[in-house]
Amino acid sequence: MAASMQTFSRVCSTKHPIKELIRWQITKCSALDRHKNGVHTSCRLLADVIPETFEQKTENKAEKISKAMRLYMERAKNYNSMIDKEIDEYEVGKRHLANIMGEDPDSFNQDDIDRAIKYLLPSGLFEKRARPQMKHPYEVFPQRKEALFGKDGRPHHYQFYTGKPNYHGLLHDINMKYEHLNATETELYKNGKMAEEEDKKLFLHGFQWIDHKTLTKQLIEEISPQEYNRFVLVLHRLLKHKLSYKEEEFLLKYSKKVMTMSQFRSIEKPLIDSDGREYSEATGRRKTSNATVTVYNNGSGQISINGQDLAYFKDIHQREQLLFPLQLVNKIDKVDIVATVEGGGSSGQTGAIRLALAHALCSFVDTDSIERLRLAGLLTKDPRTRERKKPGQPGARKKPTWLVFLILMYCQLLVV
Amino acid sequence: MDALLRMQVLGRIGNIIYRHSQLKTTLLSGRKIPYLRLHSKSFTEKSLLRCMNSVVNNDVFRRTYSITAEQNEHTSLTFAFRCHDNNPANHTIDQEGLFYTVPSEDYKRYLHKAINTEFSAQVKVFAESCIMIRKPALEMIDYIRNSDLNRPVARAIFYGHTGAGKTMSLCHVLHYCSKENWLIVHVPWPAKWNKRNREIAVSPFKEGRIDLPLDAAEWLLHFRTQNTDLLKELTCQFSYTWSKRESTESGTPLIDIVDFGLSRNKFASDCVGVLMKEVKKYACDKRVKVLVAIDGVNGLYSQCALKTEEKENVLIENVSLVRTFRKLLNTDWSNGFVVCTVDINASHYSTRENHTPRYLLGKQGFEVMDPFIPVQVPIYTDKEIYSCLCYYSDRNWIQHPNGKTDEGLKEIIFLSNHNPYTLARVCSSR
Repeated sequence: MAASMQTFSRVCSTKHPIKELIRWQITKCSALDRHKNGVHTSCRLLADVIPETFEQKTENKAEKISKAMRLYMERAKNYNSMIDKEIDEYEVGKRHLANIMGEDPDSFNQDDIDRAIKYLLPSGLFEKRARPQMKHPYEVFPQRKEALFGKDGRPHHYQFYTGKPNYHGLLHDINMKYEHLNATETELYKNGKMAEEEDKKLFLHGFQWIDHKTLTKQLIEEISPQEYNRFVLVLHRLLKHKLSYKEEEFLLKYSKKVMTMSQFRSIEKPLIDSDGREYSEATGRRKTSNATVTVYNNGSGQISINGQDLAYFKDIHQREQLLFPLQLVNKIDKVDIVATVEGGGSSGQTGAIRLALAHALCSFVDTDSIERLRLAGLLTKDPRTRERKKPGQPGARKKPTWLVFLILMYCQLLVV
Repeated sequence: MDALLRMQVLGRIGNIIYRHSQLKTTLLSGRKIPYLRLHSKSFTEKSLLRCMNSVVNNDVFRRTYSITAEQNEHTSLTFAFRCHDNNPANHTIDQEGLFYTVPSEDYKRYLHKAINTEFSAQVKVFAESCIMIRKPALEMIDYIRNSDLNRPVARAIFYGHTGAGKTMSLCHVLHYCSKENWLIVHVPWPAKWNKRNREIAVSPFKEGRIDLPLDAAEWLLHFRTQNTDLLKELTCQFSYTWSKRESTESGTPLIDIVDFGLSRNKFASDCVGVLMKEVKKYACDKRVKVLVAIDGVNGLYSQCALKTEEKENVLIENVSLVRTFRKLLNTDWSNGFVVCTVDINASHYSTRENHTPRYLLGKQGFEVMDPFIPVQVPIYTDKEIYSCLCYYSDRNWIQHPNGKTDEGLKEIIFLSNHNPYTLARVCSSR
């Protein structure tokens, strides 16, 4: 490299036209040590890509453009021309496709394209991304960042040298907001107005922080899982602050609403019996037990299990199983329960009744409670059952003790 | 400010000392206590403790804090649950569900051996023995009060589910009769004589009988504690010869026979027999009113697991104690009353499906007892269970603050299924 730099300075001093000079120098460089290190490579690139307009400007010493800037502009130009070309092709292709399909090319949109492709090139491939498709180039080719520095090579962003300016800038913003809230809180305490703020605390129920992928897309930066965790941590700390409601708008920007799963389930409306009483029925299973439960609304907490009261289950922990769904939706003494259960043992029977009871209760409670029931796992069937015994060993998983195993092996040997 | 509240407040504040934010909300919520309005950073543990004394003396603080403390502790547990009349003779149906206190000397004398382990443990913890006034016991006391004592003895049986309070009802009746100066023949749990591995002996009185000397002595001691005064007054009407050298002349006080049985365990079972014979005679002569209270009477008619030295099964009819107490159930005497309970747990393992008297007593027992007055002991009603919860809360048996809220009480009631015994178990830390 030193040698080539020397050549470069010598050539400069001979006052040849700069264009030729650079071409000469670069060819020499590339011939000498093309693959040696970054400086040379960039030199070569610089020489290869240098546009006419810049060449003239470089002659003017007052307006210097940094090498990095030049490099960036060149890349941007290539990219733009490529994208323009692709868009042109896309537009032509679209019209062509419309003609094939016999539709109006002007009103032919993306959905129509997808439909046409699916019709013309049917594919049985499982992976959807592997099937033939035609998308707008902006969707196909990844977006590129704007220039992060000016023509003089000075970065725009104050976090440029962290390597991930958007990400670190965001963290910095969040932290500044947190500090600001702290200061406000102190101020409020001093003025004795903090008590008014107590009940304004922000709760983001039914919201979730944006996921790793979305954040990466939003910031246009590669973010490691550790960095994402840090982001969540900092955001969470801001949310936990007493005055976080002041930053609600900011926090909502980085969270998305979660669709509750139980909304997808259809809830059966309560039936009405001959006495004009609302009731709902449900069945449940656990292990080998089957239960049918009828829940009557507006009751007094009476329970009948196979004709007996709760004394049917002797142990407290079995009664707790039945208590759980009732307690969760606060209906302990507000409904009457009639259950029939058969098969299995006591824990299976309680499990079956619990499942049926939770399902039957759904008819009488609001969606929030149903969601709570679901999150508590009360609407999910427990699929575990007894595992069969395997031949050659004493249990489902249990192996014979070593001694017995040896004797068995010995016997087998004798037989053979 | 009294020392107790001060300690309480200091203790409570000590718990939350490490949580500045919580402290601020607890102490500073809109109250003007200038001493405590400090910036959170200067809120160190030491300075806090230093300022506590002055704060606690602050009038405003004291008022607000003591009021909130009271509000927290009494949610729906605001019933009156105590009956201040401790004489069971005065109890009426109006006092149903209330707890009356058995004086400790009465408890030690009459009920100490009578009750199950759960209640005796509670008596120890609560430092008092309280029995709930319930309908079955009141009904039974009413029967006893109105019975015609000149006629052959009436028999009555408490029955009900396990843990429903049969024994406690019996205790209530027992306390009533002892206060009325009846002679009490109380058998706490005859079913335990049927258990295996007891010390047995061949009866010196008759061939083929089996004695339980230790159990008999234990019972004699119990009998003596319950009836010391009466036993001193009454004297033997017959004379007995125990052996060549030992004999009892007629005219000696009955307590001497008890003491003899206690000192000579060999004759303890015979002493029990003799005493019962004498007691019956006195009752028939109208000298004394006799209450026979047998807890788990079906234990006298179930199978016996005892074995002789030759490994032969002992027939329950041959156990002398059982024979003696079976005789008391007959109607061949008067001026007395027989109160029994039947309990599933007193029966043999194979016969525990039903809690009704006919099933538990079996054919033999039922024929002896019939006719009798059945009194069912039901599980708690809502009124009774809330009274009981108030009592437990008062005695700090329910300690967790959530246990005293309405939701907590509902859970406790649900789990206990209104059963008194289960309620006590649920409320205790398992």
